[in-house]
Amino acid sequence: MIWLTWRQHRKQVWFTLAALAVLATLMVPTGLSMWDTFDDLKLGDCLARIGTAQAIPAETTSCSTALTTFRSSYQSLNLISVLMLVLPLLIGLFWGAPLVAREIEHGTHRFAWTQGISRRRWMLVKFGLVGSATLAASVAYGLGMSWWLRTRA
Amino acid sequence: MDTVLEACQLGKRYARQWALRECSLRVPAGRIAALVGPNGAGKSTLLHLAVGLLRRDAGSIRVFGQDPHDNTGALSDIGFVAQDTPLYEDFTVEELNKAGLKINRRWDAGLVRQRLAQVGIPHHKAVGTLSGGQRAQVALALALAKRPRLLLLDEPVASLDPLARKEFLQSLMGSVAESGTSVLLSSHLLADLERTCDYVIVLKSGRVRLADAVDDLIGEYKRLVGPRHDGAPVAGVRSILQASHTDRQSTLLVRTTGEIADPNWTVHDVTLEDVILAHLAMDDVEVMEVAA
Repeated sequence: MIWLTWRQHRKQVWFTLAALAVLATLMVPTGLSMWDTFDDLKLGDCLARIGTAQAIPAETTSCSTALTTFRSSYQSLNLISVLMLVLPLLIGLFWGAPLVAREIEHGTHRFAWTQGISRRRWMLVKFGLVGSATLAASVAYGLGMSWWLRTRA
Repeated sequence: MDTVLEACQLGKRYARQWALRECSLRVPAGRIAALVGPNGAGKSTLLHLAVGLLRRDAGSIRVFGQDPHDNTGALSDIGFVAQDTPLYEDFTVEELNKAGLKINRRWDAGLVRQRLAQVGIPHHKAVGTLSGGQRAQVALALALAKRPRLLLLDEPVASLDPLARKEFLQSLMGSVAESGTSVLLSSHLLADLERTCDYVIVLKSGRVRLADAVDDLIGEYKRLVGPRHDGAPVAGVRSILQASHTDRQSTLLVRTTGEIADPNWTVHDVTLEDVILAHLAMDDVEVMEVAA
């Protein structure tokens, strides 16, 4: 049953891995350059001083100038970060939903459920494997995204 | 005579509609039994109940003495080919064979390869690219790989052209004769059945109309042609199924109890198709009363 599940869903696994790799090649350079700009503009210092007595007017001005510079160079990424928020949901909807529904749609459950394993086991293995793979992929995605969006203290 | 499948007052309901009702039948061992009936008669429902895909709503169904629903043990003795032969389209034949090997306790992978080599189906081809006839052969080979004691086939030849149909039924008969497997196959192609099946069950509106060995049926039912008949009993006739009249002559399809001695009647043999059609055409008084 493990082999069958793998065989049925290996395409999705390869696509997911490929998509994560493509995403990484896009995100790692932009992430690193954002980090560099952040450091160059000394935005970290500004952040640390916000709300404290050290944030005196003169510095506030230089900080806000730096912030504007930073914003203007990475403004386009704002949109992407919103997209990144919705992307997993869309993938889940369009990719995840038919995983089992397709079996019923094509009537192949009549094949799978009349072999030598119980429906309970079929269900457990299928949901277990697909679920863990999805969990692993989304953890990788989540960690990658929080790395991309991090600020350096 | 051993029984492989026994249904007693079996009923199955979809919402409020009974698809199968008070259905009692026995399928004897070692036979190729045909399940015949018009569309919507409950053939698929009966087969799905027998293979445990559906749960009964009334009565009982036993396959080798066991309730097949949610019963993996009973499943290993049943080979099933569903209507339209559902298979994973993107799998190759060999991959389906491997899948079968992985999810069955008993699986004869060599048998699948051998059967498909015989009919010339390459094992590396994706199932979705095969013709209807080849697909049916693959489904049959996969069902036989379980080495089942009972083979259930739901309209296995409905979508095939006459030649593929003939080849399919021949290879079915061949393999069943070798292994002694009992078969229950549903079909509405009556002409094919007489050559293939030795037992017939006629289902109409969810009830069994007829269940008998083909030889007995053909022996018992006769067509009588004689002078115009006024409904008087004829010696040797148990019941009249069909009667058509011209001014002078009557043609009757009858069930006999023995020789027809009356010289006024000429006796003709009938085909299985004639008998089945006569049973399907008969109005069922009981059903009409229930409906009224």
